[in-house]
Amino acid sequence: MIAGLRLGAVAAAVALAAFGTPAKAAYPEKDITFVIPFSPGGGFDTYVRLIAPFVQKHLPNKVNVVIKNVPGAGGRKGLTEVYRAKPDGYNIVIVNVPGAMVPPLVGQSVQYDLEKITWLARLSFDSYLLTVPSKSPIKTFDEFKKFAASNTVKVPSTGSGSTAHAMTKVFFGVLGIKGQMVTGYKGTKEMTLAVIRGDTPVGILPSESTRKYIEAGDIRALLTTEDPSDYPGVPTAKGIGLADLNGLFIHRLVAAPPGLPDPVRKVLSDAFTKAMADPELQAAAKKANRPFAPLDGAQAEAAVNQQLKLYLRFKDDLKD
Amino acid sequence: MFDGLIHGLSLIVTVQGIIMLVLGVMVGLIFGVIPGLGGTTAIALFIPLTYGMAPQDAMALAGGIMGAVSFGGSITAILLNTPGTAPSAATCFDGYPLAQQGKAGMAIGAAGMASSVGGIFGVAILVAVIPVAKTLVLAFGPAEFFMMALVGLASIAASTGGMVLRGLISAAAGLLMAFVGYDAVSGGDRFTLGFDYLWDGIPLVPTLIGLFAIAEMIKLSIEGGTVVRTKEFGNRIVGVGEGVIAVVRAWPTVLRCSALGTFIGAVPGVGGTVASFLSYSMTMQLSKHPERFGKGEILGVIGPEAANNAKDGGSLIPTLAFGIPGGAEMAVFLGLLVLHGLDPGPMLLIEHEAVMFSLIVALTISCIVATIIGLAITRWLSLITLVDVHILVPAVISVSLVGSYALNGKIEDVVMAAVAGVLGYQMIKYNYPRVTMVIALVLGDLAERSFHQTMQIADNDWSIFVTRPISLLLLLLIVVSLAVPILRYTWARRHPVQAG
Repeated sequence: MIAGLRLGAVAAAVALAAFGTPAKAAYPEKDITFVIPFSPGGGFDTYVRLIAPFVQKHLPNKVNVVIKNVPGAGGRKGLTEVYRAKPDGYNIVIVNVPGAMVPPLVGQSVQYDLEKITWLARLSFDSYLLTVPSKSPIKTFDEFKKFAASNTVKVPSTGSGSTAHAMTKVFFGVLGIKGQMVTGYKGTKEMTLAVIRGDTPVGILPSESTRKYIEAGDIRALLTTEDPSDYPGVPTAKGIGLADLNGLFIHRLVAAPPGLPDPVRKVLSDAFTKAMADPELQAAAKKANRPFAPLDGAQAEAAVNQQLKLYLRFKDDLKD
Repeated sequence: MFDGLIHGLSLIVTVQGIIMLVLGVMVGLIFGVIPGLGGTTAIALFIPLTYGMAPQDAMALAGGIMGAVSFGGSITAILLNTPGTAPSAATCFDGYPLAQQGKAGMAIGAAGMASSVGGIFGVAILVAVIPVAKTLVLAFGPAEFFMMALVGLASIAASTGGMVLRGLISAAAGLLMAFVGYDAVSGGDRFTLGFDYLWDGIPLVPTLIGLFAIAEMIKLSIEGGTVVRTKEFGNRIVGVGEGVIAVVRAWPTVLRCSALGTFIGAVPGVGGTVASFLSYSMTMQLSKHPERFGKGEILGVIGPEAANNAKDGGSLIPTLAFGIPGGAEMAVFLGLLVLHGLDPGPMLLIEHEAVMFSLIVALTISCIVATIIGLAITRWLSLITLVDVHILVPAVISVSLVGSYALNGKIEDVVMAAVAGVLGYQMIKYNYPRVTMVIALVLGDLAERSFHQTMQIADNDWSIFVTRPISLLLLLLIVVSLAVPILRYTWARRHPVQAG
């Protein structure tokens, strides 16, 4: 009898040792902080606010997902804060790629490394469009190529060293066109306005926010980086043989600090996958016109690497 | 259009609608009063709360906040020289001297009345120009932005309060401060001294809190006593009526500044702070007694206040008609629209006419309700100016520093407010005007950016500034505004009798 008890105690001890401390098995134990490295109100903010309650719903142990806006230095401040946090799964951040990828490529010092960070999921992506104002004489992509052959193509940009700037260089680099940037626009909205006003003959704009201006007849799209095309009649980069431009996207990804243990990564990644499959979230996303395009942690990592490869090809151009 | 208004009104005049509207006004007043917090923060914080609401109730809440926040900011600007929001800073220049003379009631009364009139003016223009809003928004490109910034910078000459050299030195320092941070043209960072914090430039709100609130508290704590400087103040905390009457008498100023505020609000990327500062300098330039400004001239309160509230209606023009935010507050407001499935853009007013008019109605009612609530409590609020410094200074400094922190949650902002506070106090002590510094700080970035853009667009051909009609018009305005004082001076010298 006593021997049996003792044996049981030993077995329990062995079991504890083998399966680790109960604390680790019970992740998550406390609230998870979801950092948005931008001010409230923007696209990244909207996505996090949409999905956070559903991640909370699909996480075990009934912990809360607490949203925290940490704006500053073009999104670098919030990302750095999470990157430096303990890799225990209680700090996650929404990341803009290429936004977070470009600064180190253009020689700015950053305190994070996207190749080491732990990717958890992709929430959505946005493709790019080559656009002209609707009053422009340029009607098709072929006409644009003719225009570009005999003119310096001016295009709006947020500024040297910025994401839009680098993306435009990659875009024109693949096309083999030398563009000239008109800098200093504060964000996509101002760049869209610049295209409609005709400040520059063309512009490269994110598809999602440009859609309504195309539908209203203010802007015409000549080419999209997404295949199949989201716009009837607009050729895709893949379709005209520019495979490199295919998949030049803005990704909205979720990441945790480097060195996150695999079991914790799986819990978080699964919660995001389940949240994005939740019909209730899909209904909310539809209402807000913010579609999700889910990828799990491993797929997200692959998508980041594809972007990085493309940008690295034009690394020397990106610096000026 | 008229049907839309009636329909919008019917959506607001429901139990939930009115509760949300009044809640919005209360939130707006409180967020306005606390330095650092403003309409942008208030709307951002309340976005998640509206998720389960009907769109029109969310619009009632947002309209309530927008209409009330700037008046809230002006109350503390007048009573304590502490602008609750950045656009209210222009109200400090004459509002606070009035409070020091024991006329806080009059200043707040005038501010409230001017806010109401300005707000309603802005909304009226909004409703009137919606059909042509797109053309209006598209008429302003970088060349026009540069000219507008130049109009503002030219007004510095008139804002020096008789101390031309000191005013220019302050303005130059303000321009230098405006150029700190990431430079979009060269792509590098300038004057950041290696601090990541300065990458986004010198933050406006903590700087204003420092220059005005903290500087004033340092001064008060050195001098002792109370805010009110006159002895015969006694128990006479009235004058609200006088302020209201002053607004009615100054109707040309109110209309001019409301129009200017609406117009500047409607131009994306310029913003409310520019609106109130420009209308302050315009009011001063057009006044027969510019020397009275800065010393408690009631017109100096009325002008910026009218512009400040009129800009709300104005900034809704590009936001609603075009999906392009007129300022930071509107950018957050766009997020609210999106959350409720109201995708901002050219189709918004056609697809969701009733909901959009409910917003317009809410904004109008809010301007009036905020003023009534504000005026009702002015009597008690004014007592703050009689509180002894030993109690007042610690309280105001705490609130100011907490407000600086609350804006972005950055401890560096608190340091910035403190540094600006010391600078502001030195400027008071050695008689350097702060208004010219702030105008330059606000406009420097816009001027530089739009100048470079214009040059890049025009291949360095300067004629773009005169071949574009609106740009040419603004240029002529600058020439006139600089020439008139010179001509007046020459005229006065040749006709010494009339000059007396």
